[in-house]
Amino acid sequence: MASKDKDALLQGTLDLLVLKALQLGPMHGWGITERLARGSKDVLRIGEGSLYPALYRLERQGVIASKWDTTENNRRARYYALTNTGRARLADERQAWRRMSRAVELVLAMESAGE
Amino acid sequence: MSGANNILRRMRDRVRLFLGFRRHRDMDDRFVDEMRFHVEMATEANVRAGMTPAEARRVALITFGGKEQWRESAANEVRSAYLEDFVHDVRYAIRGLVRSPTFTIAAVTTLGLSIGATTSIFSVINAALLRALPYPHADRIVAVCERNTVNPSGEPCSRGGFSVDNFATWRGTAKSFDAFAAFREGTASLAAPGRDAVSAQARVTSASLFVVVGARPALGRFFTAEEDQPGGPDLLVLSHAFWQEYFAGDSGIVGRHVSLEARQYTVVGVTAPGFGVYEPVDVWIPMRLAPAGATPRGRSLRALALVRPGVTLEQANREMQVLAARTAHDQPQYNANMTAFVVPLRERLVGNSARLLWTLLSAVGFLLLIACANVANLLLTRASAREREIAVRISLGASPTRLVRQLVTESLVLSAVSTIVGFGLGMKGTRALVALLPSDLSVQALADVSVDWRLMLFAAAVGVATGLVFGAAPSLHALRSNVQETLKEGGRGGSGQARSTARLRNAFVIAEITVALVLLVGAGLMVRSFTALQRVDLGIRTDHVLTARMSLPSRLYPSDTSISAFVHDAESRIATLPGVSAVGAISYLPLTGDRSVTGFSVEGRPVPPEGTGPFADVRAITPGYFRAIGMRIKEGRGFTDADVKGSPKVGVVNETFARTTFPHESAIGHFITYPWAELERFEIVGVVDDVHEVGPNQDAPGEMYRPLSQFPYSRLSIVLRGSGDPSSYVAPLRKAVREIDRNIPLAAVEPLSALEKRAVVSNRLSAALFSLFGILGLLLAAVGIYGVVSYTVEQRRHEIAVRVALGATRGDVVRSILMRGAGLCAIGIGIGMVVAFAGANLMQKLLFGIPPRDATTFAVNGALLAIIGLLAAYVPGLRAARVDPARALRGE
Repeated sequence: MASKDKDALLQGTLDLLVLKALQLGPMHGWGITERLARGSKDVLRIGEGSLYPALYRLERQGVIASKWDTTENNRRARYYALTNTGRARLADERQAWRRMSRAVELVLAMESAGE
Repeated sequence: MSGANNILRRMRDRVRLFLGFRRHRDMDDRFVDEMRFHVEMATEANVRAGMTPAEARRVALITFGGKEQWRESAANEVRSAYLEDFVHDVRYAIRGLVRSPTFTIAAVTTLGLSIGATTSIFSVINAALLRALPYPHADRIVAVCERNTVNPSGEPCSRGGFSVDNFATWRGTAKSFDAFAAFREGTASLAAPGRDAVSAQARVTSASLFVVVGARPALGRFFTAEEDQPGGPDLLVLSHAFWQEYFAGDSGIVGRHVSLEARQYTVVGVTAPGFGVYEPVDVWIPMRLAPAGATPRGRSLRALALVRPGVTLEQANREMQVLAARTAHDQPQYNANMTAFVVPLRERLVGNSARLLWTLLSAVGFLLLIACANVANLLLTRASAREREIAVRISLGASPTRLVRQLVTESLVLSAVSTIVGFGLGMKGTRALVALLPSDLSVQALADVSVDWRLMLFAAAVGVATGLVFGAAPSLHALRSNVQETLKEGGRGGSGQARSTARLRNAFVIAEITVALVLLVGAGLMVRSFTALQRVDLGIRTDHVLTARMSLPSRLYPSDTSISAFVHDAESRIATLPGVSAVGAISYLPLTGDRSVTGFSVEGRPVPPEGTGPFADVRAITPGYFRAIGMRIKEGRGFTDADVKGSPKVGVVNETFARTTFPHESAIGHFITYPWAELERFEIVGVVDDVHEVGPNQDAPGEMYRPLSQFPYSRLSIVLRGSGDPSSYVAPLRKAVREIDRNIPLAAVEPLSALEKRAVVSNRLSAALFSLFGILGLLLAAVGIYGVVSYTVEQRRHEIAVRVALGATRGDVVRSILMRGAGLCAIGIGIGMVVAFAGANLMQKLLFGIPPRDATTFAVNGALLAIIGLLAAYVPGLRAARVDPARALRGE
């Protein structure tokens, strides 16, 4: 699948970002991209082509749930929310990410060969 | 995550998908709605960022990008199962079909009618030819028949014709059979104590018949071989239907006495419901046949046998030949030139109808093909309307196989609906068809035309086959779709793509016309052959005539004079009924198939060797018969009341007899002798019209008529000629006979015209069905031509407008459109002529009075199809002529 290759960089983190965005409260797909864009100061613009497959996948895994609802402008939209499993998952992923990013930072901070 | 876990999880998901796929069926709808919302939000955001609304939306859509692709990847997250795809496709197809109701109704009606017709013809074939007969060892049951090798008269192995004495001889010697049975039928008067007699169809049979067909009684028992001996007890078995009707299903019937032909019989059993052998009968009586040599002479029986397991048909045939040759040698006076053979029972039952049924099935198959071609064309039209949509989807990454699968699913859904509709119609049609079929077939073979697995399988196969046939074209078409072309050309015709569609449509219409012509020629041949049959002068006038059978029990009417007296009394009472112009009686009524054939010789000529003929039918009549049935005396005289027992023995012969026996002189005054109880001798006093005794499709045999008073019969048919509706005489006739003797019931009371109709029923049926199929085929082909030409007009609207603007007249436009229709017709009719010409010979045996390659039929139907085809093209032609160039050019 072409989209998977293109978004390979995000693969590991996309789930985490989506879960985090939803931790702030139930939101529709567009709102999630907005939250992520705002939260990252417009650095992270998640493409729809990655977002929706991820949402569907997460929903299937049971970490998020979705239902139709109306927006504040009275529009019909599909709202996603974290489930209990999702919250646990978020905690796990967040820890894993911290470990990982710390590790990456450490590697990047190497000044000279430590031997 | 470990591999095992992964697999487990995937399995769980599969199961959940399977059980809960309803949840995902809505996936696509949900997806589309969600995306719409997303694009709207993005558009708004863009507008806020300062774009114009149009630009904002365009950008939003561009960002949206490979929608189809990630729609698939998104969808793949949810449904990976094939089943899910299928369910999705079915849903998609149903939605599509519901959205275009006109198309759907047209297609389902067309297909449903043809599938229905196919199913009902097949259900009869299934019951008659494919399903086992309702006997335990049906495949081992054979009819045993005799045949004259030198002078085969009529159809061998037909009703009657098996020698009583030969049966008595062979039943002890034939080694090929486990059981060997013979029987004959007659009408008998039956009465329960204290009730009026009714006429019952009685079968006198050897006890072995029940063994041959493996029957079990519903009540009591059948009679045994020990009881079936000369001097055995008077027993009878009732048929289930007769027991229900006359005895109201009285469960205490076994052991009771009933009077049959004025003799006391004991009821020993009742047959199982629906049980029968050949025609339905009411009671079964033991034959109690005397040993060989002591039996009555004559060939009045029918024989059936159960072939021993392991014995082949050839072996059985060879043994019968050997036995017959021995008998012919031992008793040349009765058996010279006679041989015996066996025929499987099924063949005997359905032999004549099989060809008709298969021909009907192929005719209806042709109709189905035309219907398929039409629906394929409808689908092509739909496909071209959706061409752009499909091209867009392909360019957005939808896989072509996926699209084809969707199209095929659509065809299959359509054919499934049509099959269900057709199956329902077919079941209704079957009942009507069975009622129309020749009655000799309808007894055992068609007793049960219910639905069975073969029929279901057939209907399903027809449904799937039609779906694939008419679905294939649009699918291939979609596969070949050239995306760039379609998109560039903006959905308008004129490209290579459109040209290939046009070729495909033309091919379909040509095929339709071809098949329609074949059907029409078949129908034409059947109709012409039926009218030829109806034009045949039967030699009798069947209008205003009522007939009835009666039988005078020998107990009550033991002597020739008592029979004559009863008949005379009855005739004079009937003659006084208001409106009756003539009344008579005859031993074997024409058109019933009942006859008696005998060898004869002309006095003064050398007597030919036994068994080599000549042969003639012989019938006993009363003086009023010729007038009552409407036969003309050609020469000499008919019988009068003066021709009585003691007066000189006289007879009348028919024209065929006179012509073949006395080619150079008058037949009158010659003396004829023929063997009967003793040698009969009479003088020919008159010559009458030929009568097609068996039916219009068989030539009149030579025939001798004798006065009943000199040649008595106790089983007779009364013939009454009145004015107006013959059935109005039914009650007065019954009353008149009952007033003489309440023990003499009348049977088979019906107008002579009903007998005539029955004699040509299979020809009538095939003519009617073929005409129906022919007309339907013609209509469908016309619709096909109309559709294709209309489509062409639609596609060429622009071009036509340009031509009109450049000065082409309306006539030019109509002519150019008509030429298209004419071209298609010409090719289709041309091919159709060749196919019909090649295939016509297959119908030879079903035709009467015309050659299968009858030039008139071919020419007339070709012309008819051409005219209808041009008319179908003319209507869109007119529409083309009305194209307003200004509007058409601007409208583009």
